[in-house]
This record gives sequence, C-alpha cells and structure tokens, in this order.
Amino acid sequence: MIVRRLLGILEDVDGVRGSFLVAPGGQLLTHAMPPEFELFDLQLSAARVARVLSCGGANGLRTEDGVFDFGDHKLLVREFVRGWLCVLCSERVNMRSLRLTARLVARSMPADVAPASL
Amino acid sequence: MISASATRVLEAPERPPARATARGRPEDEDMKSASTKHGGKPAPPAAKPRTGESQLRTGESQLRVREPPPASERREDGSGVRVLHAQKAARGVDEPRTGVVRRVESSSWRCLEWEASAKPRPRRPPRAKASKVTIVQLSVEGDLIRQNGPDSWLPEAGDFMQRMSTLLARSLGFEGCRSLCLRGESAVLAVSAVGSSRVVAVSGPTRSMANVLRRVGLE
Repeated sequence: MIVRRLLGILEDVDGVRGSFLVAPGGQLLTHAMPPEFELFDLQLSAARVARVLSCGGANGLRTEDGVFDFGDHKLLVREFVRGWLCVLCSERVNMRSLRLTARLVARSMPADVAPASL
Repeated sequence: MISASATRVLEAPERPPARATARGRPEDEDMKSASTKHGGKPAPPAAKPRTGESQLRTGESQLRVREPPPASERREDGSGVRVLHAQKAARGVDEPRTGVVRRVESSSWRCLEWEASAKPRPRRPPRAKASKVTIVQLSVEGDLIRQNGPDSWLPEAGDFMQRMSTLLARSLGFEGCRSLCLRGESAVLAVSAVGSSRVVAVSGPTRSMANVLRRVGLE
C-alpha cells in the first residue's frame, strides 16, 4: 500500500520513531507507529492535534508546519492535501533532514486517504 | 624714505587744531561733551563694535590696519574659494562681532562651488512600523499576567493550546509539552512553558519570528 510505503520513507531519517496521518476533523487516517502505541491513544492524539491546529486556524493562522516539544521527543506536523502528517522523533533528530523528507512525503500523499485504510 | 605725512605723525604738535570727524563735529567737541557727562573726568573708551579693523592713534592722524580673520575663519575649500568671503558675500555686509551666537545659515546645505547644483540627498528609509509581535504571559491556571501587542486573541488561544498540547503529550506517553510552534504562510505562533508556573505565548509575522523558528528547527 502506497501510504504505508510513504510513511516508511520517514523512518529512514535517523531518530524517527513513527508517523501517522490526521484528517482535518481529527480522525486518525493511518499510522506507522511502533506497537507500544495503542490505537485508542493514537486516535486521541490525532483528535488533540487537530484541535490545536484548528485553534490556530480560527485565529487566522493556517498552519503549514509545526513542532511540539515533549522534552526527549518531538512531534513534527506537516500539512498535506487531506490533513496533517505527524512524525514522532527523538530530540536528537536532524530537523532539516526531517523537514525535507516530511515535505516530500506530504506532497506525495494521495488525495484518497480514508480512515478505512487503518 | 619717510613721507611728509609720516613726518607729521611723528612730530605731532602739542595743541592740534580741531579736526572734523566723519560726523562733521570737531573731535574736541566730542571730548568736551564726554568729559561734561562724566563729571569732568575723562570718559572711558566707549565700547565699539569689533569690525575686524584696529585703529592706531598717533597724535591726530589715524592709521587703519585691517586685521586678518581669525584662524578658525581662514579656511579654504578645495576649489580655492575662501569660505569666509563666500559667507560674507552671501550676507552682504561685515557684521559687528557682538558675541551673540546666532544661526547664520538655514539648515539646508549649500554648494560652495560656482554653478554647481546641490546633489539630491538619498532619502532616509521610513521608520519601522510599530511592532506586530504580541507577547503574552500567563499563569498555569490561564490567568493573564502581562500582554503586549495587538493580538487580543492570544491569551485565550495560548492557554488552550498549552492545555491541549499537554494532553497530547500524555496520550502519546510523555510527561508534558514544553513548547509548541506553529508556522503559517505569513505568521508564527509559539507557546512555551516557563518553569512550572508561567506560560509565554508569542505571535507575529514570520520575519519577526526568525529566532523562534531557528530555535525549534523550523528554519
């Protein structure tokens, strides 16, 4: 499946732990996260990511990309045509390489990604 | 060779005849009237304007010697035009030095070279507009501590984002969210936890937030 393969490209960047796709409404579209992350937690996280970004959009800030700093990990968010691409990575990741790769993956994402692909 | 007039100066007579001054009155009359005014004593020399000329009196004759201008005024520009004379020519007359400082020329520049027009001066860049960066300081409970900037929505949005990002961190198995930074097409928003009791939210145009973007790795 093409979406899984595209998300697998991100894991080539050193320090990346996994990634998932979030619809503008907060639904989890698909993910490539390690097995220790449960689906329910991922769905909850997707909804919360969408709320934060929607809050920015309500105040005139249409987010193209963003970073959440959790201390020893970061969550990079990149806008794509059907939502947001989220990449969980460690603190020591090369942000420049990760941003370039995430931009390429987000551009390559097909427009018909649906929650059914989970 | 000593001229006849110079001889007359050196051999001044004891009682010189009255001589008409430039105002048409004999010089002795001036002395008389002056001594009458001051109770018979000779009057002190009247303060005269300093015209740059010194008068030497030897007997009845007067020698007028033109003093050179002070060194501070004797200045020549590159074209050989003496600046002092150019200024005096512009004023038209030699003014007495009264000791009163006043502005002689207007504030505009004037080219001293003949027939040369003044070069157009480069215009200063307009002053930077008022900063559009908004900084908000909040307590962890969401109370506004300090706000500076035009974005009135930032306190509420910053508080909401801080709470939601903390929940996001916990749902992913982390303790909390230290900071978040969102970049749009032309604006940036950053929310950071400062210590354990304060939250700082900053928003502004991308140009003004380059340091924040560099720190979080978005630039």
